[in-house]
Amino acid sequence: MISLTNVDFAYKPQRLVLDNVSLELDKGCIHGLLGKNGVGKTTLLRLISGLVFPQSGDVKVLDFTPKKRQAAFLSQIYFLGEEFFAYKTSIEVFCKIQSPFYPKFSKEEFIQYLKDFEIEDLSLKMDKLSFGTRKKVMIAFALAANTPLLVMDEPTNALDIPAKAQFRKLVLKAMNDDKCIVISTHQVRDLHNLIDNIVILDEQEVILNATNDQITKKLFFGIKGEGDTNIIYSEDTLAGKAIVKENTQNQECNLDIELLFNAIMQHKEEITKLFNL
Amino acid sequence: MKIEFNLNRFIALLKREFFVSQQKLLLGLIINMVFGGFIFLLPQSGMTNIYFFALLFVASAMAFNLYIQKLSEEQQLLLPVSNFERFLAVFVRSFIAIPLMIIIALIPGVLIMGLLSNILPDYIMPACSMQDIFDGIGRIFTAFWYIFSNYYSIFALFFFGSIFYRRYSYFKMAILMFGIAVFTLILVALVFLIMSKTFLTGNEAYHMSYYSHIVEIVGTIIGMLYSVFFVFLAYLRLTEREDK
Repeated sequence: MISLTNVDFAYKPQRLVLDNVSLELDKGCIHGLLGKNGVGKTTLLRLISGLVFPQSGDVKVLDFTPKKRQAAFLSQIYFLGEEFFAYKTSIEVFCKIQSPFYPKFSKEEFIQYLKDFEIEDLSLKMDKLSFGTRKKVMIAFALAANTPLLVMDEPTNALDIPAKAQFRKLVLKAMNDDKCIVISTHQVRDLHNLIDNIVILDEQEVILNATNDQITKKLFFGIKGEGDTNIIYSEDTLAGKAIVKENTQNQECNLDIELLFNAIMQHKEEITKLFNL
Repeated sequence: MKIEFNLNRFIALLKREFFVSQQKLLLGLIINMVFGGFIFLLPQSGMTNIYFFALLFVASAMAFNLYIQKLSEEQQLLLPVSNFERFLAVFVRSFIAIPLMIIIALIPGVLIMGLLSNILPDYIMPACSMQDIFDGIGRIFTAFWYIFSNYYSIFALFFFGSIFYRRYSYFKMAILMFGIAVFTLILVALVFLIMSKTFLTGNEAYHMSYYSHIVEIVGTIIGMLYSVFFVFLAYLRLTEREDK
């Protein structure tokens, strides 16, 4: 569904944000794009959406070239930025003027998603809402647009704790095998139990692109026990020493995204070698 | 360069553009009714020309405003419409819808201000007769046509500037306009010189009127070419626009 081949991108000459990035993202998955602040997560999403163009390399999304910004392409992708324009209209009018552009938009679903976020009054003015509430409206619209590709940049920023949990439920509800959802965040806990595939960006390149299953087959996440060897990374927690080690004995475990992220930041070469990257 | 156009999508886009900027538009129309109504009742037609020039200048120089502001730019560029529809919507708004709305709002504006002038004391506004009101309405059309037909190339230039530069576009465009004016003058003078050396001899007074006629025609042609060129450049710029 999304294919980047040897993509270079820079906002200023000689200062590459993405260097020779190649990446394939399939449909039927929720992809989590992780990385520290400023590593190029947003830039990557903007390249996919056609908001910025690569200096070199090729970007293909749903068999379209995003740079051309064809209407047929744009009606199949919804990009929800971290910040967004405050429409000076009511939620009802916003829906009325924005929905005709998305052929699979469902008003019923939009209203239901809003209710799930505890927003019942559609006459509320968008520009008078708090940033968090406005974000909930935008998330509800993005999900109700039912586009095959949904790209969200830091969607949980500014959401309160119950809304973050609700967000995870709604994304899972809206997901199906024909869709592809890409979520970027630096708050990895917010994506817990949500994503199927993890992409980690660091120093202008993709250092990991693997499904949860692939990761837990290669790496074991747990609390340090006696006789544990091959430990790659460990950190102290209240429950004991949380470890990431090579899963040589095919032990079953739950993926801990935060632990994985910390481990890969400190032992990049060791971990990427396991995934043949 | 393939051009995509879908009428339903285009109408939806126009509707959206209207709703997004309706507050500013309504406020502008109300100010236009009051202020414009007052100006068009004044007998000095110079003011009416300046008034229309200023309004058309603002409409063209702010045409791509939604594509300049950081957050609205993203929304505009990602809207599922073609680049051509996006461009056409801005063009229609700036050069057809807004001037039309200004003219339509000015008619009741002149009428209301004319009627009000008979109620208000003379030191605020002298009383107007029905004839003055009709003259004022007539001036709307003559002034609009005069400004639009004479300065379209300037509006086209600032229209292009509003998408080309993110900052200080008025200032940069004013410099560019000055450069273009100097270049055009040199060009016209050259044409003038070559034609006078090549074809014309004899009566100087006759030649001067002949020359000025030629200058007018050449100036109009150059102005039209500039306008088409800058409007086309604005389209190309929009297709290449990145939200950096």
